[in-house]
Amino acid sequence: MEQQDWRRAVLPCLPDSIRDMLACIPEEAPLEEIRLRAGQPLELRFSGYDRLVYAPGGKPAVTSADCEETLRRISEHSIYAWEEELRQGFVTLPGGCRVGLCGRAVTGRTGILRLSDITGLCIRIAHACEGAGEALLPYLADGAGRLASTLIVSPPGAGKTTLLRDIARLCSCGAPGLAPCRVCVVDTRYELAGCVRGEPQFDLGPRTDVLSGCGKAEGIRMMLRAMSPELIVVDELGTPLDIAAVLEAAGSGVRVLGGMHSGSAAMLQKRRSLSALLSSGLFSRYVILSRRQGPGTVEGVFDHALRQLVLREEATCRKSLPS
Amino acid sequence: MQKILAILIVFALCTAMGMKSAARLQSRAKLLSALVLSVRRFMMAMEYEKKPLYRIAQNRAYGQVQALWDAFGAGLAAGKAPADAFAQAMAQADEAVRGFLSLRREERQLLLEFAGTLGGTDLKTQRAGAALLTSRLEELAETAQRENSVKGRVYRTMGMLCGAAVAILML
Repeated sequence: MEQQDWRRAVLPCLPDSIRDMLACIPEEAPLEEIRLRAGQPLELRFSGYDRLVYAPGGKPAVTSADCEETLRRISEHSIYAWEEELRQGFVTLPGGCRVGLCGRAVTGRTGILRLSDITGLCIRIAHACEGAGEALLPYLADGAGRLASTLIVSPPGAGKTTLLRDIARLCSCGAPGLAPCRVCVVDTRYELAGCVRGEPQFDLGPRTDVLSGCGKAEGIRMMLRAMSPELIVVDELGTPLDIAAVLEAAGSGVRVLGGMHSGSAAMLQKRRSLSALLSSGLFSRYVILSRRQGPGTVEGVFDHALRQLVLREEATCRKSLPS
Repeated sequence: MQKILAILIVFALCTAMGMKSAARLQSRAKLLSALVLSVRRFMMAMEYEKKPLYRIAQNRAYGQVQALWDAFGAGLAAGKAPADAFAQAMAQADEAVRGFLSLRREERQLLLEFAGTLGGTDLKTQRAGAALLTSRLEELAETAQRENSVKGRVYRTMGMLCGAAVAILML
């Protein structure tokens, strides 16, 4: 998403007073997040630095009424239509920007029923970086025009989801050395496709089907049964159920492009819950990311035995992720 | 000849007035029933589709009160809060919906209060609010129906009798 696009998606959701404060942000500024906290200044997070914006006289810029008004606008005066999203604590805006919510959790027998008294919102500006995965494709293709089953591993905020999204798009469209294929995305937390009312807000390619809001294990099985995928894309693998479903997909001849949070290949090996996954040989490639030189820094690409491959210079530098 | 004509006109006028009063009662009863039905349809759409209010309000079959809901949806789409959008829609419905002017103050207040709760809570609470409104509107519709069947007949009869009495006097 271009920087100026976020204004079209986000500004109408904000109260007038907050909107006026954002008017002073230059268009080229690398804005990543807008944070509203009741009784606090407005926080703007840019790439590498952040700013606090106060109201005149040093008063807090954001009130609880502002937070409630923002939620009303985001929900289009229809809280009931966003119950599931509110229960999970986030809402996705048109354009893919995601709004995290904070407030009072109303709990019941089944867990959190909804969030009430919203006093904090975190608006993450969406950045779709087309081309972010291009330099890595030669290392991930299996030589027969297909993507090898690949696991992208990174700590939070290092560009894993952005990379997953772009590789899914490239597989769907086709790329040098990679034939186009049918891609099915299981987007449990609406992060990969950023669907709003079922419509993906990010370009995932013309041969991609998206299942949003569904558990990973169940979603993978549904896709296998109904959508004849050639590649399944799923983020944040971790539980034994997820791993069992992924192994089932691999057993059906489907390639898997997955994402997982971890700091390094060594840490990955230490996680007992993943030993079945690692020993199964399902993933032929592991891509480790970090924030060492900013989001999207490729620390290494490893084969199925976690042996590091030698990469060319352009594959290690983040090319398209925001600076 | 002129006298006979005048008698006929007076008789017709009085009968028409009686029938008009009866028709007003009938129109009110039909309107209240139509409102109950439309609220039910609205809630069904809300439960099943879970789409934003303005999309549920517009382009649906709401029968006699279609214009009210269309105006409500237009107000919501323009960014108005539900209560404000509904108040404006009711003002427009006074001209566009047959019999809407016959709604009494209490009934208008009920509708405005319901509109004020729309969209602000979860589905369970919305359902409960709609159930209260439809229950009250049904009572009012039943009362209006009874009035129509009793008073309507009286008004029609009185109209004809008055017309006949004046006609006889003129003779």
